[in-house]
Amino acid sequence: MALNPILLVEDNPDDEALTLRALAKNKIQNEVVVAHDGAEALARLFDGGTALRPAVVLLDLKLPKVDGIEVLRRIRMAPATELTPVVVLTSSKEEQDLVMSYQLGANSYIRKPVDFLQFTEAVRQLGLYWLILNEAPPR
Amino acid sequence: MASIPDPLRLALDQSGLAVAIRDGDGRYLGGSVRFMAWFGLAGGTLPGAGDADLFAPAAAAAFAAAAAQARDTGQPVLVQQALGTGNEARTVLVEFAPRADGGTTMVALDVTGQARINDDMLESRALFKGILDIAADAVISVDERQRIILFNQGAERIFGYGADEVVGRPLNLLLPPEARAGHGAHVAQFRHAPETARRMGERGQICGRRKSGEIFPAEASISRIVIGRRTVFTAILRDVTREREAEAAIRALNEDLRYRAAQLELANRELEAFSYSVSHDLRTPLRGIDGFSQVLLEDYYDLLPPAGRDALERVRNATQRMGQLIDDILNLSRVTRGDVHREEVDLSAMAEAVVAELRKAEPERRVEVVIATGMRAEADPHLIRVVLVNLLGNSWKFTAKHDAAHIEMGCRETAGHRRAFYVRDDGAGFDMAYADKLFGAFQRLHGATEYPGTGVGLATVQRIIHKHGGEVRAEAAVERGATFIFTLG
Repeated sequence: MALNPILLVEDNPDDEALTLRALAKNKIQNEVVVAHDGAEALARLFDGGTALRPAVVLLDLKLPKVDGIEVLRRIRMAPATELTPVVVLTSSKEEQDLVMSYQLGANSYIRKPVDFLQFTEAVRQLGLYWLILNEAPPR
Repeated sequence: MASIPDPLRLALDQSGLAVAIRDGDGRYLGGSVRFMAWFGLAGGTLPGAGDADLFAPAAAAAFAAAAAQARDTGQPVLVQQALGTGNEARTVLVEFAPRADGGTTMVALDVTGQARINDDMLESRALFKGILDIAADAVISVDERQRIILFNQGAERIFGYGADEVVGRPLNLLLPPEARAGHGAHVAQFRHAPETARRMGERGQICGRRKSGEIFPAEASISRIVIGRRTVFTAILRDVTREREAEAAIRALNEDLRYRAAQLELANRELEAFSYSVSHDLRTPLRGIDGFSQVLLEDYYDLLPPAGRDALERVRNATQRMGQLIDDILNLSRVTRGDVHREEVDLSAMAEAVVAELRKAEPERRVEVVIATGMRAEADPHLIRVVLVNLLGNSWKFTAKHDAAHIEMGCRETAGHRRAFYVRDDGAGFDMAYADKLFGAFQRLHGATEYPGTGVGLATVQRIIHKHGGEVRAEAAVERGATFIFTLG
């Protein structure tokens, strides 16, 4: 059985490259699909026949066009994705973002550390947890 | 005495009248018992005696003059005379009535009561005038036709008119032209109102008009007194120009304050937006710098000479340090923005927990920590924890170069019955000459290589303590440790 992909929603190319590197370093086998803004993420998830059913969504909050909070809201509103694990992966630890994310049903909230080694460790742990330890919701 | 037949004399004495008769030469012929008594004369002294023989010089002169005048004019003459002292004091009115034989008959009436009423009246009039004159307010009375009948010195000062200029003239003189009709209607209404006094100006500002034509704001009360068939209206009026000016100044200040508060609010919102963007946008490139430096170190390690690797390590250190700085600034601004939610906090337990974390991070350190038990305070638990983390963390950090370190936290009563908490260590300390720099943001008294840090910790501590209404200060000496003392308001 093919592994479900990871949907990485990230507009910053540096962060994208570093996240992909951290995932690869941690031997995470799932395909990683990258959406570069909120609109693209929504298209990936809800566009008819090619709709993605990711194992986990790694969601940045500050995004062009449609922001991460809105993407999260739509994911939770749609029956097809309402149970999909969403990990907010962002630079902000402002209280308003934290509260809003959890209120809208984010499964985790991780603030990306500046230190790349710490970041790699964070990605390793979240891969371990969401892709291996965690029992995915039934289809 | 021969001229008064005895039966008549008896009747006269019994009548209680004070009567005496004198001849054309001013010699007394006789007097009734009461006359003798009132004038303090012994029996038998009267016949043949003159005024000068019987009375004190002033009374004697007055009586002689009155008798002469009565004789010359043929009309009775009245003389008022005070007699006696103490309880016997009385005022008498003596009538000198001329007789056809050239003599005069004196009839004295006791008018002590009337005289006292007169005195009282004079006294109360003087008192009233005195009060009117010292009153700072204008006191103005008008009659039914709104003509001024009383105008005190206060009114003269306020309106600039002399009383002699306005008494008898219409009150309208003192009113701004546009207020005259309204005032007339008001007085007409008040005339029949059930109350006899009221405050004026309840339906708007009232104004007066000075002699110079200047209109000024005033506060006034009006009263109505009915005396017989006359009605007198009296207004007490105060010039409130200065009060109004002061009120206007206060209004302007409030307006200004509101404007500034709004500006401040705006600035705060901008600051919030700014710190949000700092938190997000400034950190993102740092992550790139650190991440790709690490990529170089991992993927191209073999291609890099040691100096190149060292440079990359330095890039990473600097980047992480900047990340720490950004976080510290954000924490400081968060502390500054937030409200204080006080509750009872067990400071002893909190301090123990903070120390436990410090020990866990550096288990190899040998530090003896003594924390007094039972320290409690009304404080914001999140904020006060930041204070303890910083103060105990500093003590921990600045004792790192000593093999055996001691840290103590306790509490003592200050002079003003406030409790002061202190955190003391025997570490590096600092030179008190720089004490004023200690609590400024980004101020450091030690090099970053010596002791790491961003210089935000104590600034944060001070802001938290100030937000609690408390004070914080430090005592220290180089290499002899530091003590930080704080109160919580």
